Amino acid sequence: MAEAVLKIKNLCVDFLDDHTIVPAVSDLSIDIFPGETVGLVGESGCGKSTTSLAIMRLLDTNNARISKGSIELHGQDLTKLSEKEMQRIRGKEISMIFQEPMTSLNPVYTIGRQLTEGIVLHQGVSQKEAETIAIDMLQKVDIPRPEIMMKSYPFELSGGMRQRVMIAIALSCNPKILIADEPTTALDVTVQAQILDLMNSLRDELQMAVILITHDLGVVAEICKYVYVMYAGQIVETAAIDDLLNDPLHPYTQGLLNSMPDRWQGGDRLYNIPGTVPLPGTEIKGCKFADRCEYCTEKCRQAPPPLVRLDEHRSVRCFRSAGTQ
Amino acid sequence: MNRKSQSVYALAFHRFMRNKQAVLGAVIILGLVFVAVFAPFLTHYDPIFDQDYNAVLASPSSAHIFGTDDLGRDTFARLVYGARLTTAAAVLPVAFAFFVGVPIGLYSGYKGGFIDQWIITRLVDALQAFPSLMLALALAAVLGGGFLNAMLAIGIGFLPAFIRITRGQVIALKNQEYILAARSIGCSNLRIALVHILPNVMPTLLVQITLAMATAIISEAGLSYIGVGASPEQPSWGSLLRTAQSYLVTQPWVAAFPGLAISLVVLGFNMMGDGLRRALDPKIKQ
Amino acid sequence: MRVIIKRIASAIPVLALVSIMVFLMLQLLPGDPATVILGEEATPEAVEAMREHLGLNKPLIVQYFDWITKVLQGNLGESLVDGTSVNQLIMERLPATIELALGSFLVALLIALPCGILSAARPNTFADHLCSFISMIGMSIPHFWLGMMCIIVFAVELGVLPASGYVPFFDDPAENLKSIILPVVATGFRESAILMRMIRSSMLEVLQSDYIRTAKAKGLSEMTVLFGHALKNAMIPVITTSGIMLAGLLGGLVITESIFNIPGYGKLVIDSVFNRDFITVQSAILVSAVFVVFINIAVDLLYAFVDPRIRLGKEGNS
Repeated sequence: MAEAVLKIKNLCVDFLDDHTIVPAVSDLSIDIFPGETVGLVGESGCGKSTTSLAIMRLLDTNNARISKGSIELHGQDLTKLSEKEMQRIRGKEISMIFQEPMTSLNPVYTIGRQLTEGIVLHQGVSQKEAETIAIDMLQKVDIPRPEIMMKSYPFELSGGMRQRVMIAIALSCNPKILIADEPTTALDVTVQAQILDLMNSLRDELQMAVILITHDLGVVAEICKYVYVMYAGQIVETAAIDDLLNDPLHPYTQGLLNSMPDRWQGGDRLYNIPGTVPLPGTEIKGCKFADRCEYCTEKCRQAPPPLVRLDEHRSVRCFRSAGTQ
Repeated sequence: MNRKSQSVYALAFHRFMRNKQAVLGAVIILGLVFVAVFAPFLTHYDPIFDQDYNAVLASPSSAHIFGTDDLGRDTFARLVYGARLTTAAAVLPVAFAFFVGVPIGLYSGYKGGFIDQWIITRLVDALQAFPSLMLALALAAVLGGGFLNAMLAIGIGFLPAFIRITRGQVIALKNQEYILAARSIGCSNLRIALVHILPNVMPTLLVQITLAMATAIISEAGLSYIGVGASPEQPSWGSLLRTAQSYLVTQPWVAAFPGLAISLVVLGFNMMGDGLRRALDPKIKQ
Repeated sequence: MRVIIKRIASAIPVLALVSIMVFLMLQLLPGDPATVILGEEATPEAVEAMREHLGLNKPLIVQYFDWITKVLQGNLGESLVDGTSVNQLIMERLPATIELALGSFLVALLIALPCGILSAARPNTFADHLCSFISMIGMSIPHFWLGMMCIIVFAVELGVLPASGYVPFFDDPAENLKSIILPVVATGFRESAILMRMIRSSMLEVLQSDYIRTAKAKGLSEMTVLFGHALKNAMIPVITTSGIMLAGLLGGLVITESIFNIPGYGKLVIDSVFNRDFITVQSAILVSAVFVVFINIAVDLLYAFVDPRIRLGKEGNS
C-alpha cells in the first residue's frame, strides 16, 4: 500500500470567544492516500469546515487556534510551519475549493488574472506561459471557449461555470491534495452531478487525494472511498463507503442515512433526527449524541464512549455498536 | 411593538455604558451643558462689559487665569459664556434639520410616486450640490450675518442628510410584514408613520443627530471665525479665534484656549456618536 | 459609453434646479435689490437705472431666462464693485483653490491609506487603536484652529514656513510649495480622519469575504492579498466618500484661505459677501455647485472604471 500523503493525528482546534476556550474539533485523526477520496460528513456546526481550514492553516488567528495534534504532509508537520512556509504549501501542495462559487471569485478581476496568479507564483513561469497553462486547465474542466473565458469577469458566469473555474484554479498547480468544502451544495442538481463527475475524473488523472466535506451522504456515495462521520467536533464513525451505507453502526449515521429521501422507507413523512447539535462549549459528561439518541442508556450519560477500532477501516464511537460487534 | 423598541434601547444603553469612550463623550457633553447653565457661578467677570483697559492682551495670571483679549475682557469668562452659544450652535441647526427633514423624509418615503421621485429627491440632490459653507455664505450675503442666520444656514445644510436617511429607512421598512399588518387592520397613514415607522428610524437618526451636532459646532465656529456668524462682541468660541488671529505672533495663547475648547466638545460629540452607533447597530461587534 | 450618457443626462434636472435656487437667492434680499445694492441714500434715478441694469422691471420668469441664457453662453455678469467680469474674477481665483483642494486631498490620502489598511489588516491591535485615536482627534480639531497652531509653531516660532500668502506655481514653484504646505496639511488632516475610518471599515468587510479566502488558499502572501485583491474592492465605496470630500473641500477651503490669506475662490466669496457684491456671490456659488455636480459624475464614472459589474452594464441600473 502506498504511503499516506496526509496524516492528521489527534487534531484539536479551539475557538477563543471572549477569553473562554471552546473546543471545536477534538482528537481527530485521518489518513489520506493518493488517488482516493475521503468524505467528511456531518451537520453544519460539527467542525468539518473548521477541520479543513485548520489543514490549510487559514483559521482566523483572532478567534481560533490549533491546540493539539499534528497535520503531516509527507512527514512534514504543517502545524509547525511559519506563515511564509505555509504559503508555499497552499495552492501548490494542498488546494481548496469552497461552497459559494458566487462569492469565492474576486469580482473586480478577470478569470484569467485569478487563474494565472497562482501559476506564476508557484511554478515560476512567465505570464505568457501561465496563460497557456491556464487555458489548458480551463479545457480540462470542460469550459467551452477558454480563450474568451480568460477575459470574462466572474459575474458574467453561471454558478456551475464559476465552480469549474474554482476547480481549475485549485488544480492549476497539480496539488497532491484537494479539499472540497461543500463544492456542490450551492448548485442545481444537474450541475451537481457534472461537477462531481469532473472531480472524479480529475482525481484519477492527476492522482491526487481529495477530502470532500459535505452534509450530503448522497454526494459522498457518488465519489468517496472512505467516510468519516463527524458529530460535535468528534469523529463518531469511519468506514468504507459500502459498509457505511449497508450497515451503519453509529445511531447518528443511521439517522443521517434515514434522513435521505430516497432511502427512507418508514412511511409518508421524512425522517429527521430529533433535536439539534449541541452548541460548541456545552459541557457534556457522557456521549455527545446522547440527547438525540434513541438507544441512550445510563452508561452513555456517565462517560464519553471511546472511538473503538473494529477492523482496518472501521471504527465507531458508541458503546452499543462497539459492544455488539 | 413598543416593548420591542424599548428593549432595543435598554440593550443599547447597556452596551453604551460598557463603552468607556462613549461614556467619556457623554461626560464631556454634560460638562458643556453644566458650564453653559452655571456660567455666572463659574466666573465673576462679565464676558462683554467687563473691559479692563489696564490689562489688554494680558498673559495668564491669577486675576485672569487664561489672560485677556484686545479689549481687556477676561478670556476665561468669554470661554465660559461661550459654552452657551456653543450649546445653541449644537442644538438649533440640528433641531431645524430634524423637525423639517424628518417629516419630509417620512412623507416622501412612505408616499413614493411623483412627489417623492420627481420633486423631493431632485430638490435634495440640488441642495446637496452646494458645499455647506458656500450655502451659509450665500445666506449671509442676502440676509446679513449674525448668529441666528448662521444657525439657519447650517441647518439647511443638514437637511439633505436627514431627509435621505429617513426616506431610505422608510422605504426599507414599509414593506415589512408588521407594517403591512398595521395597514391591514386599518391604521391611518399618519399613525403608521409616527407609531410604527418613526421609532424604527430613530436609532439611525440618533446617531446622525449626535454626529451632526459635532459638525454644527465646527461650522458655527468657522462662520464666526470668518465673521459671518456671531458678532465680534458675542463670546462665541469662533469669534474668540477671530480676535486671536490678529495676535498670533505676539499673544499665541489667545488662540489656544478657544480652539482647545472647541476640539474637546466636538471630540465629546464624536465619541458619543460613535458609541451610539456601536450600541444601536447590532451588526457591529464590540 | 451608454452609462456615461445616461449619467450626464440625469444631472440635467439637478443642474436646472440648482440654477433656479441660485437665481432665487437674490429674491431673498429684504426690500428692493437695487436699493440694497446702492444704499439708502441713492437717488431714485440711480435706483431706477440699477433696476433697469439688473432687469428687475421684467417678470421674474423672464428675468430667469435672460439670466440663464447669459450664463449658458458663459457670461456670468459683472462685479457690482468695479464692473470687472465675474468670469475673469473666478478664473483668477480658481487655480489657487484647485491646487489647495488637490493638495489637501493628497495629504488626506497619504495619511488615510496606510493607516486605514494597517488598521484593517491588524484589527484590535495597538496600531489599530492608535489609528482610530488619531482619526478621532482629526475629526474633532477644527481645521482652521489647527492651521493657526501650525502658523504659531512653523511660522512664528521656527520660522521655516511663511505664515500667510500665496505664490503662484508658475512664478516660483519652490515658494509655491512652501506657501501651500501649512494650509494643505491643516485641511488634509481633518479629511484624512474621515477617509481613514471609511477605508478601515470597507477593508475589514472585504477581508472577510469568500474571495479573500480563495486568494489566501492560493498561497498568495499577505501583501498580495491586501494590495492585489482586497484594496481594489475596498476602494469602491471609498470613491464615493472621496468625491463628497473633494466637493466639500471647495467649501471647506473658504476658511483655510481666510486664515492663510490666500487669494482663492473662497476668499473671493467672503470678500464679495462683505462688499455686498451679490452678482459675484451668486455666480461663484452657482459655479461651485456645478463643480460639485460634475465631481459626482466623475465619481460615478470612476466607479464604473473600477467595478466591471457596472462598466459592463450589469447590476448598474440603480
